[in-house]
Amino acid sequence: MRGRTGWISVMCATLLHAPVAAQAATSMSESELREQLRAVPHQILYETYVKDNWELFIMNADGGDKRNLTHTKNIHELYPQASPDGSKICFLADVERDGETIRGVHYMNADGTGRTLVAEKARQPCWSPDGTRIAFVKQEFPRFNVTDYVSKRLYFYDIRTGKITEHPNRKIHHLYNPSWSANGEWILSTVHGGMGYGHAIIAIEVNGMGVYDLKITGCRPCISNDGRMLTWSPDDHTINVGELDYSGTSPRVVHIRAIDHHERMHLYHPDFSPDGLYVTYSVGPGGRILRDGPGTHTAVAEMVGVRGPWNIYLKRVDGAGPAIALTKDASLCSKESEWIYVSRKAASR
Amino acid sequence: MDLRFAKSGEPMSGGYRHLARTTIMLLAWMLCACTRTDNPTATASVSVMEIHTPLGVAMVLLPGGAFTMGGTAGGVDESPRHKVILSPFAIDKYEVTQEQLAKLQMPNPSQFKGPRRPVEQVRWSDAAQLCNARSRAEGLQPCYDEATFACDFNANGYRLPTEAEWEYAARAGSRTTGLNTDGTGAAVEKQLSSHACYAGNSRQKTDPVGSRKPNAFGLHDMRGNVLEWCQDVYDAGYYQHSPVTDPHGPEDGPKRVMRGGAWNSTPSQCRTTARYAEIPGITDACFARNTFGFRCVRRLTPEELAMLHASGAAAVASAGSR
Repeated sequence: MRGRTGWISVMCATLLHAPVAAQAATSMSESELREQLRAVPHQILYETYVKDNWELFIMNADGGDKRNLTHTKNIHELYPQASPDGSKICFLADVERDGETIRGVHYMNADGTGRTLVAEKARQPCWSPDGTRIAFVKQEFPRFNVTDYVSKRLYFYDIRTGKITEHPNRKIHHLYNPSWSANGEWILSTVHGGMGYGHAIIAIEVNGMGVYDLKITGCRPCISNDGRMLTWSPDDHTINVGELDYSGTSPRVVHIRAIDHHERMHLYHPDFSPDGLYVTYSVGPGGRILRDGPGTHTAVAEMVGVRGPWNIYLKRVDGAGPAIALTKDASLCSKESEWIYVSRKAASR
Repeated sequence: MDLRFAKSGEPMSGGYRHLARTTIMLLAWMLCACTRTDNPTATASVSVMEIHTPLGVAMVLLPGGAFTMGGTAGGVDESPRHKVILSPFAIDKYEVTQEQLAKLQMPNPSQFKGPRRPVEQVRWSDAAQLCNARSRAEGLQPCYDEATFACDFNANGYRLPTEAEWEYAARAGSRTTGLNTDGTGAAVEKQLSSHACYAGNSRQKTDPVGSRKPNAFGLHDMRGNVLEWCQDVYDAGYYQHSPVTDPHGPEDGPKRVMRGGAWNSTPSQCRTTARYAEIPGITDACFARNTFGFRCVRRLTPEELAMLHASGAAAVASAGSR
């Protein structure tokens, strides 16, 4: 229903995205922020839809030196997640088999070598803080469905043994976007229409049966590497950060503040830099793609879709300086940014 | 009686062959609204027919015809009252249930789980996609382009009801105030309580569909349980210039119409003429409301209607101006 003019305006809006929060905090100019980012050793993984295919890319913290890590024209790679030490990346891969889309969880070395299958008909992986396990969920139905929460139960893959174990709470249902706390004790996740919740961000005991509502609206929680902060989308147009308080029976989120907001554009997928100074996130017009449309094998391949340009933005957690675009290509969709730790020594080589 | 939902004029092949083997159980029943005692306001004699689709979904075939849409005692967007003429259509007897989604292997977003409970937390776009999934499963032409969500009203598959179709179905022949429109008070609440799951009698969640009495067309939960998405784009002034015959709503706009009442609605909110509008959520990932559901409609082809009528199951008769 959106006309050509509408899309042009959306494309312009995504490239000229001027967040409200950024306008209020101007203690650092864009050039100063970009200069600061040039000294950051860590890099950023993301998914890009290029030549009718999703690939995983990596770029420097300032958006420079973008490189394709996967180069698989018949496989869609999505949802990169870096191990805390930066040595490995787990991700989703969609392949076509007998006309069906088979989504699987894989991991590989940070340079793209050593690709290993974790599980098929699985999704939403995240790393344990010690980098030895990958948590993931299995899809709810045999047939692929793009909807992110279509999942059942929670599993752990041990990369040392290749063995999969199931979380003791077998009532886990409809999780998406889990994030494992630095102390190893909690997995924070969105739940949609499952476990008695309508839509909530919950804390799940890794080694127990406890499930607690964090009582914050929205989705896509991401815990900082030191475990002290949380970032998430409280709605479709805002990125929040807050501090995690573990002093009670279950984690609480306190001192919540929005670091970016846009009335029209959608802001999703926030992720902390390893030093906790920055948050990157996806900015785009929203919109899902259709069955058998571009980017699909037999069904839609990505929840948010490939319509319109999606780009990756960065904002300082302390609010200083503007939100800046790290990708600027109006013909591509770049989303699901994930910081990957790189030591200064490795960066200098 | 066999009723093959094949595209008119096309040879049966592929999916249609499957459908050719599928018998639609026609539990045709004659119902004269004027004879129903559960809706004392109904005055017009309308014959309707219950059919079961290949997936086993109960629908009620309504004959269409003329009725007066809108009201004057509610919101300004409900007026003026105006004449609308509708083509015959079939509408789900119940709100779409969670067990229907399970049959289609579609994700169930509902908070209040139960196979016979209505699907809720549904975006308009989800509802449109579910209509398409149901069409595909029965070998029908999907109505929605899932890229633009434009609706092909000529397709023979399932879609959301237009606002006019919904109100016609909900009124079930009524032209008076009271339960169906603007009434309040003890008598109306008593009627509502027997017909709808709403704030006054719900357990703060949905009921299994059909838990309350149907309206005079045999349709359940039209004024309660969950609000129901309609096809139309919302325009508060639409009634002032809408076409008389089969109105489809404005071409474009930010919100879609919702009708009916929900488990947490007040009696006044459950009025048949009350119009609501919500963002369709086509592009929103965080969108969720546990009061949003829907039911499907489809236009039967002339051939299908002829077959139904030839069966002698029902003599379709609308009662003129209601």
